Amino acid sequence: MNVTHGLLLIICVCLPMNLAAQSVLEESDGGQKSGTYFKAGVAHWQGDLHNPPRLEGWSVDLFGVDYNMSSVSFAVEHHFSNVAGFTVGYRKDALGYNNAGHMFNASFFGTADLKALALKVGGGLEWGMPSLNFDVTELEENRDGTVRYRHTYPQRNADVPFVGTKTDGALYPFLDLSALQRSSIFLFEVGLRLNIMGFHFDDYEVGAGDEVRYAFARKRVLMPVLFANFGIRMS
Amino acid sequence: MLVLFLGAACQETKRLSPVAPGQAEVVDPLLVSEIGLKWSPYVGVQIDGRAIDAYRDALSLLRRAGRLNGLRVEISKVNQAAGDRTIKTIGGLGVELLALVGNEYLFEPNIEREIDAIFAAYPEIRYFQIGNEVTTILPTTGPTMGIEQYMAVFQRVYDHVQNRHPDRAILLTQSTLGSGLYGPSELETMARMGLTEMNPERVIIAVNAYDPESASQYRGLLGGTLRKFRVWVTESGVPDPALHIPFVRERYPLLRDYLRAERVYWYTMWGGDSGSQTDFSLIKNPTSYPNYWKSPLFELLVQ
Repeated sequence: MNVTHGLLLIICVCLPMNLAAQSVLEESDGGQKSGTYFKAGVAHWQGDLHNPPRLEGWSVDLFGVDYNMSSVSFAVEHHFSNVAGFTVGYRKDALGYNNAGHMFNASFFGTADLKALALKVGGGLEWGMPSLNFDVTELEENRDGTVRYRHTYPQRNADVPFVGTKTDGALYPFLDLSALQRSSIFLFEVGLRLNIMGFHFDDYEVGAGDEVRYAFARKRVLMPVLFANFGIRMS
Repeated sequence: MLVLFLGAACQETKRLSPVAPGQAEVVDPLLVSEIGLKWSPYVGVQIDGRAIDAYRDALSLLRRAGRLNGLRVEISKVNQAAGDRTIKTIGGLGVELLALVGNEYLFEPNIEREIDAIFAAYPEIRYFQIGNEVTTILPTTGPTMGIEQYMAVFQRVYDHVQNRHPDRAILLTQSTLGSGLYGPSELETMARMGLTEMNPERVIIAVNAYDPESASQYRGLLGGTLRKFRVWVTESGVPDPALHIPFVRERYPLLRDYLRAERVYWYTMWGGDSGSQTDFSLIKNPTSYPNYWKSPLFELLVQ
């Protein structure tokens, strides 16, 4: 799923919500009132990580990494009266695993009132133990005894105290774009997050005589995440 | 949309689905193909002369099916001297051997001389692992060793081999045990105590990993300070024959993903030293050759 597909999906989801909201327009504040909400949400990630191989003789199409996973999240979100606010939250990725996929985030956002709903744009930082789903090794054994493999994994540039070994956490920025509806004590939100994550693409080639060749690469990847949140006003 | 998300989330699972032993006899060709792709053609073999005929037969079957490239065997003081008959026999099948130099050698005052003797007794072996789970497996009734002491010994062996036998051998570190944070913390200490200064073309990192999620805790190290080192999983498996096939299908790919493991050695061909019939075994009752028991995974692999 690329960014364009994600935006189309948001429009498709938001349009009926927008129409439905017309009837309660009088009661809706369009994102203007201040308040603090507790939010729970779900998200889905899907995409492909690819980087051209750098070692000679490698097939270009051999190594590509698909990721596909779902997440749940919880957050506290405060809206100032001047159409801005901040969010502090936690997200659990890859629900079946305990040791990884624990991410904490903080962001600031601004909202623009579109009458029936509000458009919300924000950005922030996410920190934690990234999901195991991003660690992939693709291996090819050849008849001549040569073994080639690519290890793709997220850049680990931060420590998470009391968890794992040193520097096995990740810290990266993200951008959020969402449609927001605050009505009565409730908050509804659907949107697209772009995580700007660093990834390593490490290529290894081991010859039959144990000669080892390496080619290590790193690049930033825009990772779209579709999300939907439901919130209840706390104050 | 919420329902869709939740539905997708619930699809994620990590439980193995058992395959009953009898099912392997009428196994789906697609499953044979899938397991063949995910299997790593390496197995640990416990050296026991009573099993030699069954070993020869079973290993030949695996070899003929293209499911066996190498074996991990232990060299102990009992079998070092003359070149053990069992090791020589299975080595004669044309498979590559990884020799585990037993933990008892680590306490030798002159381990360099012991290494010379082992190299002389087994000229056909190129890969030597220096110790195994040294901080966890040694009985407390005898001498034990901390990871700092081990690294001092490993450094001596490494220096000796590079100086006296250059290009003769590739060394493997002792296998840390991938359970919880113990193994990763131990490997982190090994890295700090000199491992990162060694030539990554001459040293391979060994990990025993029976649980991929625990093994995932090595990720920070293997993508960081130990990025240039190759990794072999020298023991893996599950103590239930009905789960052998699902383990290879579901857990082997994860071990590769998280550890970038070039190889995964199945533990074990026959667990003769852990009770006579451990359920990790691919075969049992080897003394009943030719009527020894074969696990569903073994039956599938030799099809």
